[in-house]
Amino acid sequence: MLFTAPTWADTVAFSAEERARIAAHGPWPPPRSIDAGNRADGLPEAIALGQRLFSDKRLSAKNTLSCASCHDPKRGFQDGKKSGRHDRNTPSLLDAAQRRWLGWDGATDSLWAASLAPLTAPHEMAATPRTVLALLRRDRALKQQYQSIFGPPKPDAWLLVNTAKALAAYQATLTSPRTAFDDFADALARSDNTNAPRSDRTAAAAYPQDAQRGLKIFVGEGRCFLCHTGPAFTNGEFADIGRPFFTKSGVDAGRWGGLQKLLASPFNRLGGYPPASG
Amino acid sequence: MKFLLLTLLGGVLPAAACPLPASALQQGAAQAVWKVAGAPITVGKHFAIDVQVCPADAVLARVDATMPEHQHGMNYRPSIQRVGNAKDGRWRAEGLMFHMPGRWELRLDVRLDVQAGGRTEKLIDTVTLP
Repeated sequence: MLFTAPTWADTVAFSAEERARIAAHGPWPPPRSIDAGNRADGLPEAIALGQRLFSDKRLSAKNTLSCASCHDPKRGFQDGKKSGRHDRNTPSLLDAAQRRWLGWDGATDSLWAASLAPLTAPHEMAATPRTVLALLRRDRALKQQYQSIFGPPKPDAWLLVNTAKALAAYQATLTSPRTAFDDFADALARSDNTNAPRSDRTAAAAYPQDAQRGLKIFVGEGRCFLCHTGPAFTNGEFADIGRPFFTKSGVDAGRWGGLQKLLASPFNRLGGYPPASG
Repeated sequence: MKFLLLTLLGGVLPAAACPLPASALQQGAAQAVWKVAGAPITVGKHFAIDVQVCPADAVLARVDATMPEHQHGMNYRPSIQRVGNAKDGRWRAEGLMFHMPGRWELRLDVRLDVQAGGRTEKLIDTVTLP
C-alpha cells in the first residue's frame, strides 16, 4: 500500500473569521484558577484527602453510599443511567471546577457547596457532623490527614464544610482529556495552510472530514457558537430551550427555583463560611 | 472604532479634567469615557469597567448592556461605586458579563443636577465581541 502524507488540502476550507471562532474553542485544558472560597483548593494533601473520601462509603450515615456510587470514575464520573436516583440525571464531575453555577438548577455557586448538598441531603448520604466525627475517630490516619489541613475536627457545621472542601479539592483535578478536535484546532491555529509542519498536517488529517464539515456549520451558518462558546463549548449560563415546565412531581421551578435556593443558602459565596476561616 | 479598540485592550483610566475630548461619549450635557478594568472582555467571563463622567459631580446611576439583534440584555446587574474623590467623576462598575459573541450596546445612565431634582442622560457605546 502506498502511504500518502496528509496535506492541508485534505481539510475543509475555513475562512479567517471561522478560523478565529475555532481558535476561541481552545486551548484545552484551559488554565485553572484556584477557588478563592476554598483554601484547601490546590493543596496536595487536601486533594489526597478528598480522593480518599470520595470513594469512602463510611462517609454516609448508613455506610452504604459514597460520592463514587453515583459519580463513577469508570463512567466519566456519572452513573450511566437513563434517569438518576432523583428527579434529574447524575451530572459528570469532569471539568466541574470550570463552572460558575453547579447543579442542574444552578443552586450552588461553588464546587464545595455543590459537594456539601449530596453529602448532607437526607435522601442521599445524610452525613452529619456526628457521623463524620465518628468516622475520623475510627480511622486515625484519616483524622491525621484532616487535622493537618483544617485543624482538630469539631462536631459542628465546619466539619461538613471542610469535608466538602477537601472533596472539592479532589474534584477540581478532574479534567476531561484532549480530543481530536483540540489537536485539530491547535494545528489550524498554528498553520497558514501552506507551510505547516508535518505533525500539524497529521493532526488536521486525523480529524474526520465529516467532523470538519460539521464544525464549519457550527461556527458558520448554524450559529451554534453564539451560545456554545469557549474551550468548554458553553457560556456557563442558563437558557430557555423549551423544556416543559410540568414534571411528574408538579411544576419544575428550574433556574428560578435554583436561584431561590442559592439566595437562601448559608453556604453561598456571601454566606457564613468565609475562605479565611475555611 | 478606535475608542472601542482601546476599551477592549483594558488598562487604567486616569482622572481627566472636564470637559472630556470630543471623542468621549456625549448626550446633552453629559460626557463619559470608559475602559475595561483588568483583562480584556471575554465571552462568558465577568468583567469590570472604569468610567469617567462629566460634569464631575454627575452620578453614574446605572450601567447595562443589551444585544439589539437578539433582543436581550445581560444576565447580571452590575454594581456601581464611586472611585476616589467625590468630585473626580470616576466610577467603577463590576459584575458585567457578555454571555454571547456579537454586537453589544453598553449603556451608561448619567444623572445630572442631582441636587435640583436631576435628569438622566443615556450614553450608548458599542462593543463587538468576536
